[in-house]
Amino acid sequence: MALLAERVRDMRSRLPRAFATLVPGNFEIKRMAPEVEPGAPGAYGGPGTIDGRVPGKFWINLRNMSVWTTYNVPTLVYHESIPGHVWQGEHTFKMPLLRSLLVVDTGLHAKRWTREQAIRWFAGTNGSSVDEVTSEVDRYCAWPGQACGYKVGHSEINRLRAQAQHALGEKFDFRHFNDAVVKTGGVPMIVLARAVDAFIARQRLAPKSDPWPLTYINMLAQRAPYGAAMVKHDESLDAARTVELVCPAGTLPALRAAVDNGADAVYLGFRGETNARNFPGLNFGPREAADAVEYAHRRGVRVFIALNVYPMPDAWSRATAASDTAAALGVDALILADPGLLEYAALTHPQLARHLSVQGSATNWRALEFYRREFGIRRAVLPRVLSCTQVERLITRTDVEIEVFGFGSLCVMVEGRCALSSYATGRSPNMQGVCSPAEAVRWEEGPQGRQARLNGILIDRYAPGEAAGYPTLCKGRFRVEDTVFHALEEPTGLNALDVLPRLIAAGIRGVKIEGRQRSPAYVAQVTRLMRAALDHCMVETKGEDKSERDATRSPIPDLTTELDRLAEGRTHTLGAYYRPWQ
Amino acid sequence: MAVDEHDAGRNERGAMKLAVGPILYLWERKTALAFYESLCDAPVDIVYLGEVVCSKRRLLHKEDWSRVAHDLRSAGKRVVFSTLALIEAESELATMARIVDEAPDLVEANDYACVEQLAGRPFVIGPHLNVYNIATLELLVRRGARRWVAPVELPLAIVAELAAARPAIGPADLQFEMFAYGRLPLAFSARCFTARARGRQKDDCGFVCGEYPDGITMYSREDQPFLTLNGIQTQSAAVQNLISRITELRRSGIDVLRLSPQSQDFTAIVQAYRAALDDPGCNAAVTAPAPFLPGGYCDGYLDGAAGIAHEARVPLAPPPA
Repeated sequence: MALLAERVRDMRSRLPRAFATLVPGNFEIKRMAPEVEPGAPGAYGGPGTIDGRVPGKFWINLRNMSVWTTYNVPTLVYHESIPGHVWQGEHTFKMPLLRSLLVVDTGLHAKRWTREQAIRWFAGTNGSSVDEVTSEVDRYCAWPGQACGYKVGHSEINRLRAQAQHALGEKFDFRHFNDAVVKTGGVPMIVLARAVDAFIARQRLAPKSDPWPLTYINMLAQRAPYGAAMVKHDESLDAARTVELVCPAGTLPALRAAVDNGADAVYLGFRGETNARNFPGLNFGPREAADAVEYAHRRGVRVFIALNVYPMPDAWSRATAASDTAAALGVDALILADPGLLEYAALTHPQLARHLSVQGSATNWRALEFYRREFGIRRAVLPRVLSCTQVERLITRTDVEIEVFGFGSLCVMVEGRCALSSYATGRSPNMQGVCSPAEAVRWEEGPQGRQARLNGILIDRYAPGEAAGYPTLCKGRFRVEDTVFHALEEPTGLNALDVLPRLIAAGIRGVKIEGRQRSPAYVAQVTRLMRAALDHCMVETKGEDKSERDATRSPIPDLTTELDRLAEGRTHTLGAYYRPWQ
Repeated sequence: MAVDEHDAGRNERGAMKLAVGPILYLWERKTALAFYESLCDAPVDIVYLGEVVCSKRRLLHKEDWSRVAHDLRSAGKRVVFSTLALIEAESELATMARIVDEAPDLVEANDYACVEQLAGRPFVIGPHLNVYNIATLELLVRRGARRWVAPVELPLAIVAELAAARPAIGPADLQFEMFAYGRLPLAFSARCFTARARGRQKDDCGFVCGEYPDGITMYSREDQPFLTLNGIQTQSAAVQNLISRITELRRSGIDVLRLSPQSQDFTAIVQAYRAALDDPGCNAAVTAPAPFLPGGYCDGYLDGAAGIAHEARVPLAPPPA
């Protein structure tokens, strides 16, 4: 009973986000009388009297407590009380009483099943207990077409919503649509369609409303499959206002490390040339991926699958198969770069959210608009080339959620637009998902010190005692005119902590940690530190509603020292976020 | 008068064409104008104009570009306006939009912002849009693409496979173009490497790239010419040269060869390619002038090898299992 009350309280606080017109939701939660329990359904609810003196009721049948679980109770509460039957009744009180003529005689009645057949089938197919379904079946016996009517209505309302969304574009407002539906009362679907047509005509003339309802409906559409969605319900709604910490998972232990240390989402790839971290010993087979998804979802952490290479014809079917696998696993989003693959995913798995990979090289709002309009991308990861000010401006010009890199290795070049690796070795991020691949690296001790070659090309030479790093070709020392130096970039990592408050205030929706090739211990430490930093920033950013924003304030000073120990070359840079770096 | 690209393509498929790519460096205005004047009389079919690398550069004024385009058209060349590859600022979007709106000729898109701006009008898929498979190419053709310049790293075998799928992709006159000659455009960055090499910041670059008409060669510490710094762009130090492979390119379904402008010997290079195209039997016998740039020639990408390789013909061994 406490759980029921708690869920009702929670739902009450959320309703203003989904509806513009609110009704009282005046009701109480009651246990059914034991004498009616055996013949009664599991639960039912409805409004009280029109004058409000008798409150509505949500009746719950406690005959058999084993049928109630923490994951099936919340939707039951919402269905029977608010915003379900109690609200429905209260809305109806506010308008002439109309009666639905919706009676569809199909299902159980059309097929002429017996009561026992129906119970057996229901229990056997659905996995519910016989006890649980018996009263349901009895109700269907006595109420032909009720269940079908629900489904027909659901499908039609969804269709009308999509129609309104399409017709109104930016002017579509989730709350106003819901208002239009409930204010029409209990009417036949053909009448509802006319009402929605009228709503569309009205809204076309109305000014654009504030942007968050679009985000909200996006999130509803994005919800993970049943089960996972139940556990994650709160998190996914709260995401409307928070910034996700998106952490790398090259292996299952790394995934657990990220999940256990405060990731909001993890991203991983399948084995083979389907993602941009195609390294030996990394990534997931289908079974490991299923374990990964289960581990993360059970803890309310979202899972994104990186499928971010540009598949060549011989790899095309592997790439589409990988996206099918991801969809079957019930992951929360695909991270894609190739337009052909984005189109495939949009057509084949429309319900699965699509994120534009950093490899998609979208550095301006009009490019984002191409991907949004063509493939309905929900989110984009920005290449590490924009200054902080440019990120701020970009966010004001797009409805696509923006995710930025917060920590990890620094790509100097625009991701997705760099062929340096294939020029030196024949293998590149775009084609094979690798950069400066290990099999092309050769170390040798020369008279002038230790030397690192990539496919024979000298990338760097280290004096005795000098720390030697992995010879990523853009981080070596070269001669330009008369000077030998790190002509492209030093071996240094990206750390965006200093600008995190600014980026959060600008409205980013995700902070990404690079490093699927890193160890579980590394992932655990960076996730923990970035979690702390993000939480600190979020508190500060929320407090900024009242006071003047101090954009330059750094989050927690000692985190920087700790993070530096983990950074490439043990030093960090703001990279392109900081204009003079450019 | 300009011939419509669409009709020209359909009627003339089979005769391989020569194109001159956009000038990727910051040349003196006078030098650039003289270069385009010389192209009016050169045996090339298509000339790409405009700025692809850096929005700060003003190689030519707007009026200059119009006049150059007019002169080239009058000389029977087809003109294409290329657009920026890395678009970050509003001002860069606005410039790109103006080119798209005002260009009387085809536009080469090098960023998806440009494809979006084109809104279905005919265009050329530039080498900086990532097209690696039939699905992506087909999608862009549906949105108006008439010619595809393959990404430089794509092996010829793959390009040929896409060319073979042309009937399915349609339309019949879809043209395939390859980067045949020049320092390879390999990467873009937010950072200006030329300014960095000269100890300057990008916002205070003083246009030092204007001092390097072919970019600055970057050497390894044992003096192997490796890459070329060209502002925010990184190029190969070696010049890709596919002149000895023209028969193969033609057989693979390539319609257009792109020659990328360089500061010296360009007329001789055009002549050499024209001679190679006009002599159907020729193969390795025809050669371009010896490279004046320090990196020599390369052609490894064609065979799926490292781009820097020259006449390797053998791809790198696959990684050990």
